Amino acid sequence: MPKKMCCQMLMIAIFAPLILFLTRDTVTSTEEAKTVQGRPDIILIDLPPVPGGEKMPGVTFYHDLHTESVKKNDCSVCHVKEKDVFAFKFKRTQNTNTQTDMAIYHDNCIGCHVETSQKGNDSGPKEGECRACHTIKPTFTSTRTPIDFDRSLHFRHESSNTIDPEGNKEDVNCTACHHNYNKDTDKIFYAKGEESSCTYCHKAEKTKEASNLQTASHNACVACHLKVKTTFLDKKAGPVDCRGCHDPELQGEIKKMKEVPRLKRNQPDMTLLTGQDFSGKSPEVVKKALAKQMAPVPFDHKSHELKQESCKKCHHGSLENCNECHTLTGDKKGGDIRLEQVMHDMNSDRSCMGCHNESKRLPECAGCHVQMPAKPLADSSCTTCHAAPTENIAFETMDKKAMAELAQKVTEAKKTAFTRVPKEKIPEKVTIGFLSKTYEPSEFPHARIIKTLEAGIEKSTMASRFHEDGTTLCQGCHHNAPASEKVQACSSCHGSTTGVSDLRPALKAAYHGQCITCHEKMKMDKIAATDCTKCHKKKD
Amino acid sequence: MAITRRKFIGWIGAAAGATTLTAVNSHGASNKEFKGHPQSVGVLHDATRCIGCRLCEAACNTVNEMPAPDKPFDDLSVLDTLRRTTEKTHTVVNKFQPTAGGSPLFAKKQCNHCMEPACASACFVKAFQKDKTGAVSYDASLCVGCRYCMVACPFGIPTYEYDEPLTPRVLKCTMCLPLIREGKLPGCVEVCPREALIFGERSQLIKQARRRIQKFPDQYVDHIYGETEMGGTNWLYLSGVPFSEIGMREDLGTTSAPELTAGALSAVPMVVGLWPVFLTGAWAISRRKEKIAAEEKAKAIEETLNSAAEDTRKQLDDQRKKLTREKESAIAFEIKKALAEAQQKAEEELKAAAEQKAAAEKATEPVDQSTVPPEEDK
Repeated sequence: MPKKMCCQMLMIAIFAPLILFLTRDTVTSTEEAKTVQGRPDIILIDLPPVPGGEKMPGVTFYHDLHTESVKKNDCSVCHVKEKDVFAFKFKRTQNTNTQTDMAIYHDNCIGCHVETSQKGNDSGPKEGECRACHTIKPTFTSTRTPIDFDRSLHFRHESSNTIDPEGNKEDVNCTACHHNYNKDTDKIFYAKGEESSCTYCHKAEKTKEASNLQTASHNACVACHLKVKTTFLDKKAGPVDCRGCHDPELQGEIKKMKEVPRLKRNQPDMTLLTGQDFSGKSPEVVKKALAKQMAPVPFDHKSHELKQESCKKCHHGSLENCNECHTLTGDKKGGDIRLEQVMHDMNSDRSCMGCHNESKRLPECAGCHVQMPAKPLADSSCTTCHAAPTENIAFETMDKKAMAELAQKVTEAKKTAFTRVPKEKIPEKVTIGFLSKTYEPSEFPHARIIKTLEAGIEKSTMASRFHEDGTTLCQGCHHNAPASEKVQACSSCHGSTTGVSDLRPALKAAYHGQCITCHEKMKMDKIAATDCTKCHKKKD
Repeated sequence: MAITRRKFIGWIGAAAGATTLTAVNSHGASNKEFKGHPQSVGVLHDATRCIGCRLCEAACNTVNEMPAPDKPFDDLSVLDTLRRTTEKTHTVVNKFQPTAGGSPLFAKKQCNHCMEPACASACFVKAFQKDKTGAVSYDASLCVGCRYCMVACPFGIPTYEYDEPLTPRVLKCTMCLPLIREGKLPGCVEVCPREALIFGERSQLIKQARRRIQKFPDQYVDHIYGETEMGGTNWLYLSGVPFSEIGMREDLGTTSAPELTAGALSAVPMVVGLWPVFLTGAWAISRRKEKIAAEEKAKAIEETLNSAAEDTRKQLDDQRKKLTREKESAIAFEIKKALAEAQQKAEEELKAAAEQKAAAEKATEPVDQSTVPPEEDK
């Protein structure tokens, strides 16, 4: 090695780490966010590559742009019919091989573009303009949003006079969409009372037994909308273009019913959650089993059902009972998640406690609840839900009806629910003069605040159930004290100063913390937290 | 034994490697992980409690006897622009709109009083020093105004009195060190109406922060900013949203600035110490080489000269010998010739005499020729 080179390398070896050390933090990245317009109708046509062949980037196809330019609602321009229903593939019913499919696209797309432009109309790219379609930088990004077929939409379909499926004897249209699948005959059939959500079978990806959700819903929804639109000339028919269902803005314009009647699927009004199936078991066995477990939970299925947008909120895999999959001890079918876990998981919005906990974030609740520390499950009151007394009730027959009756009985017994603290026991006003050096004493409208909170609770059956005793309300502010009509003043715990090892704030911060947080969380924006004089006038 | 250049470079390389390695090792064995001065104090800023009232800014202004701001402290429109600390405001409260939506969030910004401050490590006159209390203090009488501290600070805190023509200072939050020494609270902490700022021993503050996170896991990001950032700071933060959303750097890592630069700086003595040796060596080698070359040259010249002289002498000798030989041979030849001539003459004389004798003999008796000896002298 030449001696000069050796020397240079030595220098580099000495200085390179030095330079790296010094420049380590000076590297900053700047990202420029570009705003690109979105469309809900983008379809990426990307055929699999021909083995050994070259691959062009996929074609970003704007579907609605094309439906607008061809004759209105005439799908036959691009789609062919299979068994009287349009197949939602371009000019074919099924994919064959890439070369054939590619030829179909090239011949028909370019052919139509040429034809259109010969007529003197605006048209798409023609032969030789490959990159106009096969572009890697499309002008638009996809804003396609899955549509939520909520209870309102469901009822509108269910009760529509236009749909009227063939051979339907009732005035509801269940048979139009719902079906079961018979593995042996490979045919679908309708089973009354077994209707389920589409997603239970039609998953995101195609399975052996069912097409994927996209294909299934397009085939069912679009085809039906089209039929209604063309055959019955009904202007109210659902959308047949992409944006009608998948544009996030247009979704907001879909008519929503204020009060949606219950779905008609034989679901119970009331039920008793016993944790396991006791049907056909002798009273002795039932009694013995129940003695070892928590008291059953009377569950008001009806009121819960009416508060949710869809059954899927709780019934995520099927409309069967929870304990079908989530058994007491856990089963593979339920992903080894025990019934106790699914009911009490605080981090799931599907579990009882998780969902109840979630609702504490509502403005009416958050004022008090956000200031309450996270409670471990063990500190929760079990009997609020596990309320069905097992001792006094004879479990002669553990059938659905008997259980529902028992649940009804227990719930009705609890209907008294929220009881207000007598007015005369609530001080009308409280004067807080702590900051009286700089400010006039603050007049705290004690009774008015309680009244507002009480109204918030009475609005909700759930809140009423969980605040049976009116004094629980006092605990919102008079926290860490037992629920009672006789409460301590704030200053009995909060001193004028506090230490760093003391989690309790000093009196000033305690007042400000509680008042400001509550105002913030209950969205009382009229009084800004920084507007001191709104609560206490400044001394002259 | 002679040192070759190749060997010398090899030694230098080995020495450099050894120095670097030992430097790192010794560093590792020393105070690499500085846990902060025991019982050092700090402040915990709970951003979830901050309402952006700017009372802390006002208190800071009063305590540090700074000039009145352009807009009064109760003018909250100031919060609409993102601000940084200046030589006239040692602390600022900034307003942030959370990405998840909802009401705006506020966060106070001031010197974080790093446990191992970058400003102090960058300061070569020790104008910045880490006080035992935990505050990073500044001595204007030592400051030379190089402003390396401003470059070094990862939080962009120290500011310079550019308007001061004669005695400009670098200014930043002092944690109200004079007040702390009197047993009082820092100005901002004292005035905060919601205890969004609490003062105390750093270790206690961390415990307090942990308990808050544990008690309200939904309301806090599970991280105490400043516990480990840049090797830890005495000013700690809690937030309900990722810290980057309230204008705090999340890319700083957990290594303190001095530790980050220690590796590079430990190479400095090596470079400074070894370079003269290395360069002198290189120079000496070149010198030696020149010397040797000169010597060799001289020797060669001498040798050439010597050999040339020898050759000449030899040639001369040869020449002389040759000449001598030629001369001798010429002489010999001449002698021979002369002898031959003399002999011939003698012979002729003898012949003549003999002929005469024979003629006479003829008359008398024959003469024996061989009995006449030839004259010889060589």
